[in-house]
Amino acid sequence: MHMRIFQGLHFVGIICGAGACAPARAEIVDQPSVEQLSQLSIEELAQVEVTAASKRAEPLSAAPAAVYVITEPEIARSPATSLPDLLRQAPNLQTQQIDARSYAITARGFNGAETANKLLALIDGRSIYTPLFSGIFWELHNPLLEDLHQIEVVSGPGGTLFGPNAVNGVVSITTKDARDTLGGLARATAGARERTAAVRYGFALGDAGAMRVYASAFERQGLPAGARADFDDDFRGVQAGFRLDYGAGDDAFTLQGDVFDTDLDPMPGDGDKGHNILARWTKRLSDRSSVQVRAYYDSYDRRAILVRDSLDTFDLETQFNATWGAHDVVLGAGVRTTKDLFDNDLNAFVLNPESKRLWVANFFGQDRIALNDRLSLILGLKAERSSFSGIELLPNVRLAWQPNDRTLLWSAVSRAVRTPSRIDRQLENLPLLAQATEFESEKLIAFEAGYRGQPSDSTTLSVSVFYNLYDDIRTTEFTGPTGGLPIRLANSLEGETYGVELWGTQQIAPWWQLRLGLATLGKNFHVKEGHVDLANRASLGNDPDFKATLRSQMDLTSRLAFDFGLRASDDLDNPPAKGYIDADARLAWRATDGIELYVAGNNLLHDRRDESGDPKRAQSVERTIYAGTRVRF
Amino acid sequence: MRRLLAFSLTSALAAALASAPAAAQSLEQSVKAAFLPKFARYVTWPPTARPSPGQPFVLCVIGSDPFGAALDRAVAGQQLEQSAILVRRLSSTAGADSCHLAFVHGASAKATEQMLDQIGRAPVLTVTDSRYGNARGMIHFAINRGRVSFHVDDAMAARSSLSISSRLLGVAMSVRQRS
Repeated sequence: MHMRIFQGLHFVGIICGAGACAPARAEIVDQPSVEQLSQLSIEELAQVEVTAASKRAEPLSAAPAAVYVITEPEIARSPATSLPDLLRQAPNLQTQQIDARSYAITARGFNGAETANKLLALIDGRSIYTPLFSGIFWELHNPLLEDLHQIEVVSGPGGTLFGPNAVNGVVSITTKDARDTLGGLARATAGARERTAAVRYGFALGDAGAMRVYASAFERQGLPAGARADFDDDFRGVQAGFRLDYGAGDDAFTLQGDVFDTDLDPMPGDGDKGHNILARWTKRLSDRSSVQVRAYYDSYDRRAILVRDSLDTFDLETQFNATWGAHDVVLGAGVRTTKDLFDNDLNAFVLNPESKRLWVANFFGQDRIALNDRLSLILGLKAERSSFSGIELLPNVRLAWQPNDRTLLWSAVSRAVRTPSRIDRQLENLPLLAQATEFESEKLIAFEAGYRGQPSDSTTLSVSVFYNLYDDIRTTEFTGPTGGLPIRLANSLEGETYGVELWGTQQIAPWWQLRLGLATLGKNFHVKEGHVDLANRASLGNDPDFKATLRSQMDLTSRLAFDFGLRASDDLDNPPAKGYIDADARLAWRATDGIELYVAGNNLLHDRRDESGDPKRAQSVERTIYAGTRVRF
Repeated sequence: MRRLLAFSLTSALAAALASAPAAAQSLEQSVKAAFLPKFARYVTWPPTARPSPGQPFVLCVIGSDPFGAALDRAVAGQQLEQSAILVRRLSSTAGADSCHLAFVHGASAKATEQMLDQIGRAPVLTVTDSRYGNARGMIHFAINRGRVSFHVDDAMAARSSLSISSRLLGVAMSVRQRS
């Protein structure tokens, strides 16, 4: 519908790739006239991109980078019922479902349950990677998908402003302002494999604020046995929470929290529990400067088959933004402390000590300099120190050039590190495995370049290329010079990865949009001279050479929408798993303004198939079909 | 020759001066100006408050005017049912009872709030830039993902006996329901 507007109108401004927008600094030189705008419908007017304004709502990731944004309409139309499945919409992420509850997700390689440890994920700024192994327990996070405002997915180190562990990518999930979710919503879905139910209610607090509360429950049947592993992975749980936003004028305040409890079958009492609370205060100091303070507490407790893992996190961050002439400056500092407990009665691998408090602190600064109307230079530096590392300096330099109104070209060089996790440093199983007290940060220097633009009125395109140089990637080696036990973890792999990421949208007709995505990955690593890797490069993960996606979104009538997606993933090599092509689809009917009914399905082309090559864990994924409804009141 | 040169310089200067305000007029303001008369199409006024046949529909800007000529151009040649649209600029709410639709834009949030207070429950569709607090009109603009969008406070419209069509509510980012 809104594409008509591009015909006959020239505009400048923000250049949007498939859902990914980069605010431009250039003044408007050739914009549609008021008379032209007056010819548009209200729906079309609401789609006109306005340059000058976009800076005001500039997202954290507006730095020129490979950013894909999963937008609110995409979320609403997705057949996904869980956060990790929703992340499949991002062409620059690789997702492996491992069993009914666990997923491994990465950008630019290293995928696997234990090796996907170079991604930072944030929910409203709350970091969810675990210092246990630097990976993410996705099953602990079941936000109401209807509450999500957008998900920004950055492949690459992502710049200065994100917190620790942003090495290969950043997933920044933001939920809606409570003032935008007034009234009630109920959702239920039911299928052979999964049932979900959720209810949310939002109400105003005075004239300047609002609050919403939600509760949700799900029950998921275990997946069928995998090629090499079979276990009981039935999974069910509840999650509830709230978000309160308040503020008029120069102050804005947010308070939000969640609590969850999930169950799994193997042993009575197995499952995960947790809660978190986050407060954020933003104060506008002047038209050109603002300060933000954010603090959160997060706690979880995971229990599965004689293993208990718990973590308490406190985090405080403050950030100052200001504009002086051609300079957009951000300065900030953050500190986080975690206290964990890892109690393993299942086997002899233990953390020593069993419980430990860790600290990570960082200072960061970034200057975005407008060299002229079309060219910006971004200089960023973060200094990070963790309990397991000295001070790491993480600089990045970015250049953004807008040669014309519809084109953004950018390039970047960044240094990023993954600081040691508890397992990297303190896992032991004597006399077999000794602690790696010398284990260092894994290091990356990333070279990136990209294009984002609108090559025709109905096409958006983003292309990025990367060349990553890694050093000190984890290996396993003998402790003695001539071999012999115990073994320990070391940093003896180095190498490179490279690839292309491409995505775009094509508006075929006002009612029909196609989205294409492609990501390729080449890997070339070697063990440093004089070292061996007893783990046979397991830490490099198991990645397909390419992944391709195609999505079609059709508004058949004003009330009927039909979407489908195809995705192809190349073979996995180590250990092997066959590549696949699979499909998902969703047909939705808005019966009235308040009631939506839909049927949706995933993995439609196979009764069952392998997805993850993980020999110890992987179950098969299977076709799922479900019916659902959303009611607003 | 010199005269010709002088003439072309002057005309270039004049052209530059003439285009300067137009260029300064941001696209954001143009889009908002284009929205204003369109809002009126999707709102029903109580019978006593509608423009009488032959009388104009009065679109007011109260307080400081961010639109300039853009608003006049946006309403030029537009009709609302049988009425022409007349733009009236008011520095205060004195005379606001003649307005059907008012974009209220005080020097500060406080000033906007006072002006909205003074309009009270008169059947005037109020539109503001401010989104939160008491400085918020029945329709308030917001910028989302680089686009001009708006929120609707249908409860406030109901208090002034205005009825907003579902099409407009459907385009709004959020709607505060009438209770």
